[in-house]
Amino acid sequence: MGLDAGMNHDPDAELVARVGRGDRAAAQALMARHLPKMLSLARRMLPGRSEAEDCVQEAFLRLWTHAARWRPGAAKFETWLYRVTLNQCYDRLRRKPTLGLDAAAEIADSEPGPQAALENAALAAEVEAALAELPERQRAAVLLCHYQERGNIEAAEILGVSVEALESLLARGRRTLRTKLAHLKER
Amino acid sequence: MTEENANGPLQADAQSDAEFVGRVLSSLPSVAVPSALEASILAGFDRAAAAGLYRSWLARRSQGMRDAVWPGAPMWKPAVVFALSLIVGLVAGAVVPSSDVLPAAGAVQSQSLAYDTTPALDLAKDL
Repeated sequence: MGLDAGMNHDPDAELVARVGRGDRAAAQALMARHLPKMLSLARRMLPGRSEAEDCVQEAFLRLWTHAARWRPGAAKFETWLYRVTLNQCYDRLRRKPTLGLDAAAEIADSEPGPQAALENAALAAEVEAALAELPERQRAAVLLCHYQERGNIEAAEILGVSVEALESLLARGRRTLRTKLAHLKER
Repeated sequence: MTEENANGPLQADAQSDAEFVGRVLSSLPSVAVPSALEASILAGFDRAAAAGLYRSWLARRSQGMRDAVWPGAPMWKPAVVFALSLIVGLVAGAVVPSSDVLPAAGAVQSQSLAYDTTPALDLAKDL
């Protein structure tokens, strides 16, 4: 499916229009559709859970206040929403230094079985720490393409870069991650 | 094997990196959405919707007033006229009450009015 076709059929357009008219049910539907992925992106981009929650909350507040002025066609709504979320993440990252491993360790809180939970928590903490050390745009590119499974065109649009620039960010990010996490290969 | 040869070792490395990163990131636990966060986001919607309704009510009211004062004019026209009138009024208020208009300090001002006599009014002179 081409980019234009994607823009012409925006699955969120109707919901956004209803949100602009003050429809609470539409707001709930839009939130249910995007909140989990937005939160997981923010959670992997930022060092702390509360930071990620604040970031997503701020992005939704932008959505509520801008929905009435939203005009479909210029860009896909989802692209705009994820760009707002990432910009919120960048703002927070520039305001505060990253916390690294300590904050990364807090993520594994809902894994079943004590032994498996410990192993998974350790693995997740290592991956989180390696991700946290990537430059923010490389991290965003890797997360969008590998964690959120978005296509290169969509990820490039969200990041506001060309597809070639995205591929370059991805290649460097992947290489760095692989170097840092090479010892996980045997697990 | 033949594909790797065709694409070259660099591309094979890139493919291998991508697979590794995909595998590693899939080990991350999913992030649960706290219900408090959902409630907080919806509370934000309620506030924004209420503010939006108030803004649209205010916009309708100002539109009505504007049309009553100056139908079809943009908002800045009556606003400028009102501001100019206010400035003229303030300047006049500051300049006009001079000493010759106001009674002298200490002077007693009195006026008598008799209701049982006809007023001495010369229409030719007083109008």
